[in-house]
Amino acid sequence: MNKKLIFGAIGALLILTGCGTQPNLENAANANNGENASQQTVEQNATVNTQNAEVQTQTIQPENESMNNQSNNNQQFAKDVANVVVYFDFDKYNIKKSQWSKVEKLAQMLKSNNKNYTIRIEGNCDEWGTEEYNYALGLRRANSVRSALIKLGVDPKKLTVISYGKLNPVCTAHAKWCWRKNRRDNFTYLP
Amino acid sequence: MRRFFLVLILFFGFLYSKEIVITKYLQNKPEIIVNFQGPSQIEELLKMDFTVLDHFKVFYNDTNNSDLKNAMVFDFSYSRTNKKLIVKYIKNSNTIDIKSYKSNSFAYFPFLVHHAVYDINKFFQMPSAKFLIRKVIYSLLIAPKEANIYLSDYSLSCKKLLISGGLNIFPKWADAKQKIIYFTKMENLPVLYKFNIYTGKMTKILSTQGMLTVSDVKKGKILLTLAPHGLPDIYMYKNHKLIQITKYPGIDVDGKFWGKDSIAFISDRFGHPYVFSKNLKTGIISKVLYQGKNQVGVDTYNDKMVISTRESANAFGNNTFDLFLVNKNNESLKRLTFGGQNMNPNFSVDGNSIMFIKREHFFSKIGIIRLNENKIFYYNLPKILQSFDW
Repeated sequence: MNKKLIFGAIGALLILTGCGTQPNLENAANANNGENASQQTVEQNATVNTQNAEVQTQTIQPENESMNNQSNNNQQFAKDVANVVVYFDFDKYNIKKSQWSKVEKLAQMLKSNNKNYTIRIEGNCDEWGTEEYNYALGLRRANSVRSALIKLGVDPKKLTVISYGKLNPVCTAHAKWCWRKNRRDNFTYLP
Repeated sequence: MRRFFLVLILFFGFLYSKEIVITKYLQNKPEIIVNFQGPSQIEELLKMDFTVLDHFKVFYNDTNNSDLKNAMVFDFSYSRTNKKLIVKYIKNSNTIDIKSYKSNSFAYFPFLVHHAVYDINKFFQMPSAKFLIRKVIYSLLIAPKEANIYLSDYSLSCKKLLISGGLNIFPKWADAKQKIIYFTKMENLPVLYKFNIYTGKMTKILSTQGMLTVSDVKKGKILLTLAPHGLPDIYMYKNHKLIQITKYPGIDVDGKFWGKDSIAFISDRFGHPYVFSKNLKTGIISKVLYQGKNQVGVDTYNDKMVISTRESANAFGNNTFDLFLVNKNNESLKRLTFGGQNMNPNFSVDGNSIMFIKREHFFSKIGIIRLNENKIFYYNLPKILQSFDW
């Protein structure tokens, strides 16, 4: 009986690893045929398109440029959003007076960008307190800013919240100046 | 006069000791002789097990002591080649039993040692020592937004990676046999998974906005903290249905089954976090303990409750969190720790021990309180655990 218990306990430690299904020769041959076939199609298409190549280039070029510009704009917007950090007092989730201007600035940024995107508000805490309470506190911090942004006219559909509790520190020193930096809301642009 | 000196000694002992240590069973402990042959780290762990168990007066490699003629002898030998631990039970020079423990890797020797000591405790019909053979699961932050879940023995001497990739947090045993765990994975939304550690099968249970953690599991019922509308509240998940237990526009977290008809939880409804209980029959919510500046950790075992309270007014002071034991039936209150930051209390499966994390000068230790023996044991923790269950 004891042996059974022991082997059972040890068995629990073994994590089974599975192997991927290996292709058989028939599949491999088919796969090769498929590869040749697709190569042929590419070559045929290449021949057909040679005449229009220059025309296509001219049409595509401006589109690429506009896409690049758009992408750059999005990247800049994501950076601007990420640069906003709202800080909180110890064990508090109300927005301090000193942080209001940041929330207003963020609201202005979001309202002036009418494109389709989501902003994830991420609540964070310092290292004090238990994980579960901090997880909840981070969530309340994220929700405080979400409510404020909605009051300032931001579309609620654009906002989502998440809490990382104390699992996303920007500073790991055990000091007051460091804890202050970790009690914060971050904002992430999700296209 | 003798009494006066005794009181004086106890008084100064109290002043200068950080924990009160009272050995209740000292007179009645069975005397045993333990001989060991094998690697030194196994011997160290064996000694630690007997120390933490505190049920025996152990004499190591002391067979020639004439005062111990009637003591039972336990011959331990570990072979590294076949990864086998053999324990001979010897009484009056006669081998009365031989037990063998085997693992497929040397790294798992702690499980063999714990089993062997557990069996000796059982042989003497001493109080339960199930905590020795319980497996511990814990989540460890390895980088910002990245936490893995590991399986370990109670002493955290060995660890086996179970789940990695992203934030895997709040692991909790789902069954008494310790085959299945619940845990939260932070994807775009927090997702609750069920994971079988034998088969590796992972099943998605729930997903919601904001927050999702498993706080307690009892007879097929799960207590969760959810925040579908941004407000963290306690919910019970039973037969694939969610029942909302608390409804408060603040923070309610960490729900625990307490006694037959109550649920304890932490709430900031009085401005700071305190432990409250809700009677499920009457619906009445009341504060459990009027002690400390706030209360940040709670765990229960039947009618017993352990609470971590902040004692000093300064939130960042040196002496902050202590553990208190409360009993629902007799309303007794017992202080379990003195000094340091004692948090994350977690009862053992038999309710006789409490595992917790102690932080002192920003170093962490795992503490084990043996309630019946009135003793606390510590061992160092190299990294801060996100959460654990045993």
